[in-house]
Amino acid sequence: MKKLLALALAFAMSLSLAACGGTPASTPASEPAAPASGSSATEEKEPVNLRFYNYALSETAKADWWEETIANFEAEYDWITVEPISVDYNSMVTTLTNDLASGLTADIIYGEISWVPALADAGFIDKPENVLSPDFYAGYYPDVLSAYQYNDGIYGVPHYMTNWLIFVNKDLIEAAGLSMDNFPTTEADLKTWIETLADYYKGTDVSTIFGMTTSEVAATGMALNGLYTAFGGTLFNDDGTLADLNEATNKTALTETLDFCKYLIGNGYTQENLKLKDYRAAFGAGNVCMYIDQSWGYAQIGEVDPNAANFTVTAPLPTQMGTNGKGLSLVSAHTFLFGAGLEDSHKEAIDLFIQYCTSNEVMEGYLNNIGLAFPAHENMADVKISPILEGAAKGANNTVYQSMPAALASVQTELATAALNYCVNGMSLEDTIADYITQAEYYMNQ
Amino acid sequence: MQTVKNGVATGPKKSFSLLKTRRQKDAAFSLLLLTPAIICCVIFILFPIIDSVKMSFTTYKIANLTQNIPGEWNNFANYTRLWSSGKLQDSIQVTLLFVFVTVALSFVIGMALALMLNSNIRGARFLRSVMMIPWVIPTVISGLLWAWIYANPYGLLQYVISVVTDGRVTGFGILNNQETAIWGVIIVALWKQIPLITLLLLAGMQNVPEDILEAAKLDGANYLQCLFKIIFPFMRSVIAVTVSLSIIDNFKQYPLFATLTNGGPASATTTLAVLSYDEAFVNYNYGSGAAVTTVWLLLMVVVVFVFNAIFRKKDD
Repeated sequence: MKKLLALALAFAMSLSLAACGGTPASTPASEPAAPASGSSATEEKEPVNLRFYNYALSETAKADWWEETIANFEAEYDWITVEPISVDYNSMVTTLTNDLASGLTADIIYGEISWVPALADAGFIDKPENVLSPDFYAGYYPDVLSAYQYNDGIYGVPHYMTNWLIFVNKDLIEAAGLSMDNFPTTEADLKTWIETLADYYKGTDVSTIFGMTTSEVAATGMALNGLYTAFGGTLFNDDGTLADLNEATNKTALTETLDFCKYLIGNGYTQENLKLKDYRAAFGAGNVCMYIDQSWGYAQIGEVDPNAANFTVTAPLPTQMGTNGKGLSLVSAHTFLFGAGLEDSHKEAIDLFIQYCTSNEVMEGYLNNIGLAFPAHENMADVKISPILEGAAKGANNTVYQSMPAALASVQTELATAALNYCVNGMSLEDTIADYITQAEYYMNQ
Repeated sequence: MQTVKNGVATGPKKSFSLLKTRRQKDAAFSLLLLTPAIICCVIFILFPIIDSVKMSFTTYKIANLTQNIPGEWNNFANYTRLWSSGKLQDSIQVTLLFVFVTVALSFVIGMALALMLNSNIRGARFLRSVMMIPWVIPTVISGLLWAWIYANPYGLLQYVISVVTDGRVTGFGILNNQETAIWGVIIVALWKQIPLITLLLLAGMQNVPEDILEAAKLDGANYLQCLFKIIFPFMRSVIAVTVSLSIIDNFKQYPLFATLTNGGPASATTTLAVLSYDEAFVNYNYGSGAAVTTVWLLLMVVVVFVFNAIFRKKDD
């Protein structure tokens, strides 16, 4: 009897263990809520629930804005509910893989251009031309939309865009006897400014004269690629293959990019291996004279000092950088991506939601107070730009897009490794470039 | 009805009728009891490992995963690609350095603390409880906590160093420098792991018979002789288990690297765990990620096997 009991117990325990690890019997229902009011439009429409994967919900200011925007949208279109799903920035593809495999759906994904290759390869996203109404889709600025080109088409639309720009602490600059009216337009003048500021703030709490991120993360890769582009380089050919980095123009640009980083790190004008968020925090604390960032970096500056607008101004990258550089900037944009295989009712609801989120009325407050940026659609053409961005606005048209290979993020991030190898680890320029090409090809050829 | 024959109880004849001896019947019953556990192990451990090894020989990308397309055999391309890029060798080197230094230091410090706590010092019980706090904190939280301590230029460590050196040393970012980054992670790993190791060793130490120790002292043995001739030999099995666990634990270490350095700077802290994650979940090359995992698994098995072999040899 004891043996039988022991046997039964062992089976019961193993079954309960298996039950703990099993898949749910049914997928969590995302049934749309019943229409809230009885408008005539509501009575004719089937309720639709949009599952909206959004990485920006982890930031308080943005989360509050999205919550309010969604509530207002739902009040206006009461047959549509928008279900926001907060996902960590680095886990979007993994989360979607797991969620879609378990039977859930993703209608809209809010994120970065660099996510397009992985999500398109996975078959998770559809082309916006298949989702948005043609008239509205035609309103996107072509230069910005081109940044979404991957393989056979455009996979995503911008919410708003930015160029790479320089955040400047006006008070620190003016205290050192410099004026924003004479902000440098050449690399040589920029270096003169940097050296003047370094002399003036020697031995003070000002930790960074000119911040340039070199940490090995995707955002830094984008920043360094932006700098390399400003120096006249091209990282990818139009067909998405790796550009010839030994070709004269590219090699000069890469050399000058690395030399510029070495000039900054070697002289202590910037710190090695810091992330953009580190510079944002230090800038907000008033300890950085200038640093390179995207416009929406101001959101984190403002979190450190809500009155940072009093001392923050921006400037475009100098239009003469190195031998061939024209200060061209790669386009960055926060992005709407659309789930694949959606029903028509969902596509219609998505179209309405995107149009709602791309209007002057809805976006003016956001673009001025939360995520400073420039419009990317003619529906937002009349949005008043934040005074902080007035300086950088001159560079907003001096942009260029690059084609996207699947290994975009890794190839860009390797630029940070190259910068550290050359600036900190004592690797020669030739070896650094050769090593970078080897590593970039490793990712491109996988 | 149970009967007694030659002093051995025998059960009903119908059950296990094919098995003749009591030993055979017990073995069969044991196997029956183990069956659920074996089934669980096969389904949840063995199959995934086999699947991963199989995947490591194929080209397996995100589309294979999401669209259920089988991977394509690629003639060991994942392994050769990793090897020729030098990434595999570098990460093996970093992994071994991290594992050996962390295990050795945590064992030495843990043993010293266990000896202290075993010597009836005042407040030993309180110290034992307080000491467990780092072990109780989840690893990711520990990583974030230390990332804040190490932060450059506003971290606590930075501030302390600046105060101690009267402002002569500024801008010291232990995780920002290729030479020091791995040591920054090792310090956190030690902080996290020493409490458990101390506790395990202390438990083993408290099982050393007092009468033998007293007899040795009466015979004139000094403290070190007692330690090396009596305490350590009695603790051999506990030490073996503790060190084996520590080796495995540190081979598997990923959260600390993810939160503190993410493998940088310039790959100075890219262990096999980080490389595997990067290949599979940053570059979405699951075949390559599985290849790293396979090497990782083999290396761990070899190291634990070698350690146990050395320990057993000494026992003999």
